[in-house]
Amino acid sequence: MLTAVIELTEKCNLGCTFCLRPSFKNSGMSLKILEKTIKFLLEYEKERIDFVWHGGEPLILGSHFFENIILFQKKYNVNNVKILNAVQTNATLFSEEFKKIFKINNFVIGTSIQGPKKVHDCTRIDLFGKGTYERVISKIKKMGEKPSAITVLTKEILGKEEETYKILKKYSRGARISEYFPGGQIPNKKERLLNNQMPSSKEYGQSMVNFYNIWKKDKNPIDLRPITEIIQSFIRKKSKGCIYSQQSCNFIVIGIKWNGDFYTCLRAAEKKEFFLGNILKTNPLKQFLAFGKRDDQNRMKFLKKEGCLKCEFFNQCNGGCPQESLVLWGDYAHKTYYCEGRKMLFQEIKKDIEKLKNEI
Amino acid sequence: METDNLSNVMSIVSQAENQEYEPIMAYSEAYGGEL
Repeated sequence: MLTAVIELTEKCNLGCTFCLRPSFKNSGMSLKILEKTIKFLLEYEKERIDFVWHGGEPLILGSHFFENIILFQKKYNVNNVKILNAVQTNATLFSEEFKKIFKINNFVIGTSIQGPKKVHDCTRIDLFGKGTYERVISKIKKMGEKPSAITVLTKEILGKEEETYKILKKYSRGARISEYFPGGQIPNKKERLLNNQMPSSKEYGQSMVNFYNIWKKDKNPIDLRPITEIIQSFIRKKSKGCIYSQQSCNFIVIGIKWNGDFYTCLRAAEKKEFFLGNILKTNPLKQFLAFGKRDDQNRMKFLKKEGCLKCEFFNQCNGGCPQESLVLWGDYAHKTYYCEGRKMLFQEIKKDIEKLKNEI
Repeated sequence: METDNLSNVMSIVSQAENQEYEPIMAYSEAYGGEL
């Protein structure tokens, strides 16, 4: 299985305050690079590929571009690899044409909702600083089916978990509460927003415990990630999701930029030690697994020093994202900033699972 | 519409035990959030 996260463009029509790569560069994947990329991936992977069409804002490229994606996938899928297409969009450019293409070709649509309007509009703003809640919700209503959603846990959400969950339930078929990744910048400016919207680890933990308790009491709950994944990881003794599993990081995930540059992960884009090569010049997948093994071994060495390997929740946590460590500390040697908060959530879930075991 | 018991947790636990738990979001299967 391979998940290819493909940045079709760096351009975006919004200026969300926590965007990781707000370059707004006038860029877009050419059809030549698209074709080569799809061909290479379908020759490399024999079982299943999840194509995640990402940006910037991928819908900027227009509906015709997505028709070409399907065309190339049909042309090069000679091994009958199982293909899943997912698109991560801010929804504001969604149209009837996209609706038709995505429906016919079974695209999974993922969007971003930050909760109720007053919370959403603090962070998900357009290039003029105006909130986007109404625009996003009106487009979601036109999608026909509810999309999945991502919510980044910023300080604005703290204490508003109930309202946020209600909105997610109303407008999504499943949601992920994401840890705030400290990479955001004000559009077109250099300064970072690390301290403005990033909760403390403890605040994060309390908020996730709140979400967990709200979800637990809901008679008809949505699939709320990572909570449902964490419950699952207690049973299976291993976790899913890249920031909870080193086995995803660098082994089943690959990051591809619009210009054909391949990286072990899109979060590592522009960092030469994670650069696998450019599709127009070489076969970037040749060394993919070797790079994964190297990065995994290096990371484990650091996590051992950090005490993670002895932690009772290591199977659930895996120490977090190495790129987060780099952004916060300038190296890969640190465990996740959210260690304390994650433990609060793990502890709460563990307690309930033990209760369940005792009842049986 | 609230429930005080652990039925939601129980439901995920049994899905995991029966290997039925399938991701609904391919994207989130791999990635933790906004890239």
